[in-house]
Formats: sequence, C-alpha cells, structure tokens
Amino acid sequence: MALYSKKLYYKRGGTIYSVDMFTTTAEVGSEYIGIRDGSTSVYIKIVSVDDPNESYLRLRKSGITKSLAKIRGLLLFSLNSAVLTPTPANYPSTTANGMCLVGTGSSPYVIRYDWSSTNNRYEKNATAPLDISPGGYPRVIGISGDAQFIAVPVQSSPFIHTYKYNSDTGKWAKTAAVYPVISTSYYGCYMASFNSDGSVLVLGNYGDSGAAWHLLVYKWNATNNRFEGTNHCDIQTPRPCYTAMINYPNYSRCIVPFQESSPYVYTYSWNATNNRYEKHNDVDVALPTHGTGGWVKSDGSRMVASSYNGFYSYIWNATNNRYQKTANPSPMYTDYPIYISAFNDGEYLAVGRQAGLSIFKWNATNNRYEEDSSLIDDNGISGTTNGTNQINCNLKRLVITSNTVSPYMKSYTFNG
Amino acid sequence: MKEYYIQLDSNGYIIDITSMGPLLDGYIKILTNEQIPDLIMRGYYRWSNGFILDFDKKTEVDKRIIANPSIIK
Repeated sequence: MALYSKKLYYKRGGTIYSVDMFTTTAEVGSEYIGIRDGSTSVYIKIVSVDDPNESYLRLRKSGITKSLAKIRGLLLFSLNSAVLTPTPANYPSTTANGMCLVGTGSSPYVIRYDWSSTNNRYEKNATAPLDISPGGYPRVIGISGDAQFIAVPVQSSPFIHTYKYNSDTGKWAKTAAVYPVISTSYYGCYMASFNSDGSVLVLGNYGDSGAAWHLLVYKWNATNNRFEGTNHCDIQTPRPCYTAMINYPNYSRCIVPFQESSPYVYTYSWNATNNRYEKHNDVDVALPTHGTGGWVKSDGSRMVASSYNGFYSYIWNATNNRYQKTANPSPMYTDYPIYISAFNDGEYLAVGRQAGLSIFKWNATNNRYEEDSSLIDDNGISGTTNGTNQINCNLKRLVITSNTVSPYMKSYTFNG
Repeated sequence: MKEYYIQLDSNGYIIDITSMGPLLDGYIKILTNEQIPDLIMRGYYRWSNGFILDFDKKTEVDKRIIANPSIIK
C-alpha cells in the first residue's frame, strides 16, 4: 500500500476536507478512515446531516454498526467554556499570553482575567491588576504588545491613566501623569492604542470643537516616568474623535475616525524627521456618517474604518497618497458594527454588532470583506452591542463583552 | 472618463461606490468625469448619467442622523 492511500475526511462549512494518512490496515471504503481488526472496524464516515460541520465516528462489529460519537471539523473560531465569574464590561483588551483586562463600573474598575488552558476558559483573577484605581468607567483599555504598559481612558479628568508593569508586585504601577495633561475634553478619551513595545501611546480625544487637540501622541520617557507629548500631527481632525488607532506592531500609520463632519476619517503617516504624524490626502470616498472605530494592516496597505452605518475597507494608493475605497463588505450590516478585531493581519475580522458577532474574511478577488458564517458556530451575545478585543491585535483569542446582557463575556480560540 | 462601480438600494439610491474592481454582483459600472459627491453613500443620490441629489431624501436622512448622533458617549 502506498503512503497516503488513506485520507481522513472531515466536513467544515459544508465542504469536505481531507487529510493524507497512511495505514497498513485493509481498505474499508473511500469515504471512510478506519481500522479493522477481524470483523471489527472503527471508522469515521461523512454523512449528510443538517449541521455542515458534523461527521460520525462509528463502530462496526460482526455486521452491526453503532454510532459512537458525532465529531466536528475544527472551526476557525471555537467557543471556549464559559468565562468564570464574568463581569458586565464595555470592551475587553487582551494580550498574546491570554490575559484579558476589562473595565467595569465599580471598584477596582479594571479586572483581570487569565486564560486557563486546563479549563479552556478565562477565569477572574481576584487580585486587582492596577496598584491605583483609575476610577470612573474605563473605556477601551490599551495594552502594549509586551504587556509592559497599560493605559486606561476614562470619562472624567485626567482622562487617561497610564501604568507600567512591576515584576516585584505582579501589578501595573501608576506612572506620572501624561505631559502635557489633557486640559480640554468633553467626553474624555475613548481608546488607547499602543505600539508593540509601549514606546508610543496614541489617544483619540473627544474634546469640544474648540479644542485643538483631538489626536494625541505620546512617547515614553523613562527618566521622567511618564508619557510625554510630541507635536502630535500636522493637521488635526476638524471635529472631535473617539478613537485613534496605529498599525501594529509599529506606528507608521494612524487612522482617526471622527464625528460630525465629512470625510469622517483622517489618515496619517509617521514622519520621523518632524517627529509627528502627517496627514494623507482625504480618502476618495468619505464615510457616510460619524467615524467610530477601525483597524490598519501592519504594513499600512489596507485599513478599515467603521461608522454607525457599517464598516468600510480602503486600500492604500501610494500614487495618490490616500486610501481608496473598496466595495462594501458583504453583507452590509447597519446595526452598529463598529467594534472590530483583526486576526492574521486582517485576513479575518471579528465584528461586534448589536445583533451579535460576525466573522468576515478578506476576499482578494472581490476586493472586499465577506462574512463566512461557517467559521464560527456562535452568535456572540444577542441583544446588546458586542464589544470585541482591542483593535490592532493579532491574537489567538477573541473576547467579546456586554455591560448589560448576560453572560457579559464570551471567548473564542482563533485556530488559524 | 473615470470608471466606478456603484451599488443601488431597492429604491435606486446609491449606497456604495468604488473605483476598484472587479464588477461584483449587485453593482453597475459607470463612467463619469464628475467629482464624487461628498457623503454619496448616505443613500440620497441617484445615478442618471450623473449624480442626482434627491433633496427630500437628503432632508429625511440628515434628520435621522441628527436625531441619533452617537451611541458611545
């Protein structure tokens, strides 16, 4: 018998996949993988079932067949066991090693969850992760790629609290206040975005229209134990913004969706000589309404900007020095699909919507994101706005949260 | 003339536009030298050998947006 004359077949998303195997046992049929001992065969057979991901493991002995189990093809996003002690929370932020931070409405305001491989779930860590509570109701917490730095945006002054990891205590210790302090804001900062080593911190500031600084950029100054401002950017957004996001792991690009004025998103490249972000030409097609969230591919070649009416993808056009719109994603959800996490550098997007959670895959032929419901078998948390992981991460786990609807938190392993 | 691909809603209003192919199902190809109108994806422009603004629809859509300016304060 030649090598690989046997294949393990499994079905996922209605498609049959095969894995080459080799065996010296007798053949039991082309749709089977089996091991035969005398009149006993243990085999897997794909049969038509309603669930496109299921196959059957069967035992056949002395002419009688018994089903042993249904087995499932591995989904790209597989639901983990229920989070242990979930917390009503707005937005989760996760790290490469599996730690997850969420902000909540009561002390200590930031709660840590650790991944348990044994139990295949997130479990609440009883110890508060921060040495000094930020108070308030934290928004999208920023964590640097190496988890050395944490930034907690809040609604009231001082609007941002920054922390550095202290290995002696196992906690993140509050640093000195950012400099210059954020003096004017209406709703505060909404999201903190770090590069991989935490040397750069970018904030979107919902200042009132008279506030000049909507995009705030700080660099870590170890001597002064604080993040210090640069001259930010050459052209500020004309109206306030909630979010400003840099590409991961570096910070060569920045996108700033903003409110109340077309084109609702500005994009920038970092100019090292001038030590600031410098604006590109406007996108060729404006967002239809208030810019809210987004994501930038690591090399800056593609970005996504979301608004209340949907999310939109753009491709970098160096000749025109601007991002150029691709076709809309399919389908075009309009139920606030503004919380987006990227996996495999944007090959997949996990999109939190009011109706639940959707996974989109980039289709290079069609130049757009397309939903693939076969990649996940769970609909997130229904009846709420599903917050997803901090944007700009390429992680192995997806966490979604709600601050109103139980079970408040769910997590998935990304098997890509 | 520059080539664009537009998508219309069931009432014939433009809800998407891109200059990048391919021509997908549900899209039509147009050629124009016009500047793309601002906020063209809001759904109050039609295409008839040019971008045609429906003022009544614009008023209706703008009112709706003003009434619901934000969900994440």
